[in-house]
Amino acid sequence: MIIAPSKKLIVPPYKRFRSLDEAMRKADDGHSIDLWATVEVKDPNGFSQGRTSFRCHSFLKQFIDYLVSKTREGWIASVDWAGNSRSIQSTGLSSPTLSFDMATSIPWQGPCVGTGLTAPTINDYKLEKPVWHGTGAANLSVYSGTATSTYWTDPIHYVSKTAAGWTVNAFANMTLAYTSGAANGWEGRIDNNTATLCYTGQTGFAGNGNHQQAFPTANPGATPTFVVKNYGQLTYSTIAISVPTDDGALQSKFSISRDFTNNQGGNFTVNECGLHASMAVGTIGSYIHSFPFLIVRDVLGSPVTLANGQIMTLTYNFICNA
Amino acid sequence: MITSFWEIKKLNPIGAPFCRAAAGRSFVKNLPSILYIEAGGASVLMTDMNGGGRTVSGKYTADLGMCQSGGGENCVRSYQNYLWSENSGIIVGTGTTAVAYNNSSLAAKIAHGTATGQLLYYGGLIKDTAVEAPYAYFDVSRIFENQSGGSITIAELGMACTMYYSTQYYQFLICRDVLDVADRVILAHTEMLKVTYRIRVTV
Repeated sequence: MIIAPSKKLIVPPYKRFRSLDEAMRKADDGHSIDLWATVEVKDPNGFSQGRTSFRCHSFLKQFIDYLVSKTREGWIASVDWAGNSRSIQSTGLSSPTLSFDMATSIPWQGPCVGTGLTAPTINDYKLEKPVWHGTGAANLSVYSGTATSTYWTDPIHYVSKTAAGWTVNAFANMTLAYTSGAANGWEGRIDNNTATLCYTGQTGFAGNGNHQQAFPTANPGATPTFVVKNYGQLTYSTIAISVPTDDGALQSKFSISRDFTNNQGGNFTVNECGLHASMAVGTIGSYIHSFPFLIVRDVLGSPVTLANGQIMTLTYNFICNA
Repeated sequence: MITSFWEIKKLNPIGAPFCRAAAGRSFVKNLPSILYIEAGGASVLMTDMNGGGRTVSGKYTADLGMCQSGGGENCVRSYQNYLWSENSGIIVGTGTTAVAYNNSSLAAKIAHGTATGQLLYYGGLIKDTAVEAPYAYFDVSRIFENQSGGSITIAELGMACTMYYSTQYYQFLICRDVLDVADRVILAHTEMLKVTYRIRVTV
């Protein structure tokens, strides 16, 4: 009889410890819910050009916040993708959810990628250099200048500026970074811009109630300097979530995946990846908004360079080992 | 990865102190199923603690609920509501059957009460997120008291959550651990046992 490797018939004794703290630091992690990522590169016709898998190391604090919020009532403090402390709403049995909604090409939910190389830490709340949906090439100074004013009332935030060449939505899915003032150093995704206003946070979005506000952690003041950056853009696909399957013995798993297509016109290298969840925040009895929270971040062991037209499929596999 | 750890500790030992801890081994199938629904998956067939098949769909139905307020901050709900009490949060049993990924209940759950073979299930505690780089974790704990008049041997631990399905609440097992023989707890009459699960992620 041939026994599949996954069907372990002999379970070795576990190591016992004197306390929970000791066990947490010294015990093996052999039996758990593992997260594995698969990265596959395809040519424009969909033919595979290569594939690699790695064990993710980096569930972040926000994922534990989510689990706590699901197991009990009360407000759970967490940090959204823009660095703001948010109370995850968990007043009943209905929220928050991980909510990787499968709407078209929205980059603030589900798998995401970036170009940052800094090793993950447990408190990371954003990709270091996020790559948003689009076709633009990397440019760390798309625009720079001094704001004529800013508006800053959570979750609405915009920068006022009139400048030649500032066309509507020219900066959408890029990154706004303050370079002076109280918010100096803060970076957030630009949702859209009008002829004179550049938004990172807004209210009143139609649709499913999930929002994408990136709200500065400090009031930028009236006339800070800022720069519009583009860490490079890739075309985000919808998200696919597979139905859980099991091996009939010890393992059950499901996956979440997304395609990222390089339509920049030249090569582009991806160094980091992650998973955004959209979770409801607010006060008890008063649902306010859903905000994106980064729950997983990894720096790739080997950067993935995409030629123009190539597609990178990033798949996260949640694997439960009994 | 998401890892569990358990600790069992007698609070008022008659005789030698008793405390054991180890890495948990046994998230069961229901947990990834819940995460799948939470993530936006369509529907999934789950098995409740009574063995009933429940096709859970919609992210607003799935839940890991172990606790409602009312018994004090962070406390698992008291016994005012049976559905949230002894079948939700940490549970214990006498079964020794090896864990399988599709376990939907303990092999032999100990019931709440003071009759022979029963334990008093106290409310529980779910702590806030703690960060101790490179870890983030939270603890779920519950105290059990033996007022049955005889000794009881605890051989298995688990956690269950409550979800709303159709028109009522059901409980679903999300992890189960069977203790090695050396770790099985013989709880004498009047002794109290605290069981803690720690859920941890590592960056």
